[in-house]
Amino acid sequence: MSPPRLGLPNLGFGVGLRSAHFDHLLSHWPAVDWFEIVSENFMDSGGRPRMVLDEIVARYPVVAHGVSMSIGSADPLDGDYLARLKRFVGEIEPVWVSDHVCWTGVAGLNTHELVPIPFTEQSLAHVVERVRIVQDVLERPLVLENPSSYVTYVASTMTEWEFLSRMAEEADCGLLLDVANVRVSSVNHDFDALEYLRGLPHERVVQMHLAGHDDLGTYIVDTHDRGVCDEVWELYRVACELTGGVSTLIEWDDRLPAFAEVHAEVLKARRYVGDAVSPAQT
Amino acid sequence: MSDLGTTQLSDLGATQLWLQGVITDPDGVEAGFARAGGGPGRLSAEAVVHGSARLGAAERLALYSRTYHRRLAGCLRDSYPGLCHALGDELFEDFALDYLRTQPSRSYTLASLGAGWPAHLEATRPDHKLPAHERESWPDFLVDLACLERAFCEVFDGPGVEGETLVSADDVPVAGDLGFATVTPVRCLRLVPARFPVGEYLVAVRRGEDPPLPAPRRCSLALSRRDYVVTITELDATATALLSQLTAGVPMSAAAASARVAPAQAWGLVRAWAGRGLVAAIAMPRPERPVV
Repeated sequence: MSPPRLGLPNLGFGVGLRSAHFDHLLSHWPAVDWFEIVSENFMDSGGRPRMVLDEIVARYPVVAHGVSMSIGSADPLDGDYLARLKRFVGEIEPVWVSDHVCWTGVAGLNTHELVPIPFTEQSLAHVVERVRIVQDVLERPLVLENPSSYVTYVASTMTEWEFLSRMAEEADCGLLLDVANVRVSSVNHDFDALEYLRGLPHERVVQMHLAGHDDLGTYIVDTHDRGVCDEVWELYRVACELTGGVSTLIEWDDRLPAFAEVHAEVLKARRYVGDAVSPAQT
Repeated sequence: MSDLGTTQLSDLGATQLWLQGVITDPDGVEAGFARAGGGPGRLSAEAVVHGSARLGAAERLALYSRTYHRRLAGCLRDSYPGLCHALGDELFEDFALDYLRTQPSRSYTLASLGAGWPAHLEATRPDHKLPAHERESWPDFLVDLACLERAFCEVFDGPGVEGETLVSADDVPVAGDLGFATVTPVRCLRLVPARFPVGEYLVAVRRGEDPPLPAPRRCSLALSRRDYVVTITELDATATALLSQLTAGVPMSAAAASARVAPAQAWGLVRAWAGRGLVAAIAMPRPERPVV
């Protein structure tokens, strides 16, 4: 049986590293608990992005969050990608490596969209096998995130939270619980977000994501372009109760404000942690 | 793909192939249904994904389709700001979607997305079947600008020479024999030939200015990087000839002869390039003495 959070630490409240903030970070070195990077934006860089990352890694804990593993694709795993990722994480030594429970392309193409997979026994077995392979290649645990989604499949035979639970247990991997994505998908697919949260294996949740989204009335779009809404904060509070509190990060990609504003937004999470274990206690 | 005729897709690969075909179709999901195996009497969106009273199955797939095209066109816009300025937003998007239609991403990184665009623009120019002397010049401008912008991206994020000691202008001989000297340009140097002064145009656009489309003028552009900032230096024909030879590893004497420049002029050019951080090393090996 794996220890809680796979034995990984609670890093506190982090911010996604974005190039628009590079100058501010290099000149101010703000007091931030940790940073999350999008692996693909840095793993082949020989220029300024990599220079900035090296400076960040020297000063802060960093987590590598990928968007192109395509763990749910019917295509074979991309060996070249995995080799480069392994070399990259060997160089920067992130606290952990994460990606998404999704597929991004098939037949050799990459749509760069995080498309959900059908929740079937076939795809579960497929994903579990691939997670094990990736963990063997990287020689470290993989942490996988629930994506936001706009489609569910007729072929699915289980709920998303059942799928994630079984995947995490059978592959012995971690979960990155994006509570904003739970909110988005629960509205788009008419399921109970609290039932989703309660149905997860909480001891396997290593990290949580927060983000803003756009409510268009008939559906919600995961835009990462604003602060966190009340409904997501409430889900976050419940998730903290259930998990005991884990590393938390805000994702903000479009209409990106000044770094201080993004940082202040994630620090609001402190008030929702409540009686959950604080980072200082871990 | 015979199972696409059934009412429900259960095979993971077939499902993904069908869905990918639908959401990446440049003419929208309805056209994608027809091309990927959907349409009346065949596979419908509702046979694969759930719809609801608030949002139908096809509308849900259309959300992915819109995001796919917008995201990738936006990525190209970030990499090709000069081309976007020259074409305007609407026409730029048409060009971008045409490129994505024929060369969809096959890489895990979006940094590679625009790599084939300059060649695609050249191959699809409306007068590509005409002899060179009968062609219009405006496609030349777009192709040259695209080549420059692609090189700019490669230099910006490729391997550089930051932290290395380069040759300074003072290290370069003032005159004298070229002998067996070799001059090694920095590894991040790229030479881009152009039929328009696209360097000036791109620099102005990147400064936020609104430059007019320039008149044709042949030139060569040397791109490099200093302290993580990309530099663009316009070269005349003589300088281009010499630097091209040196970049190919040709010794100074042969390079100068090929470029038809005298030794003093050749060293003068190298000195100017060294001042701009374009020279990684100069080797001046002495000829071996004959064994007595």
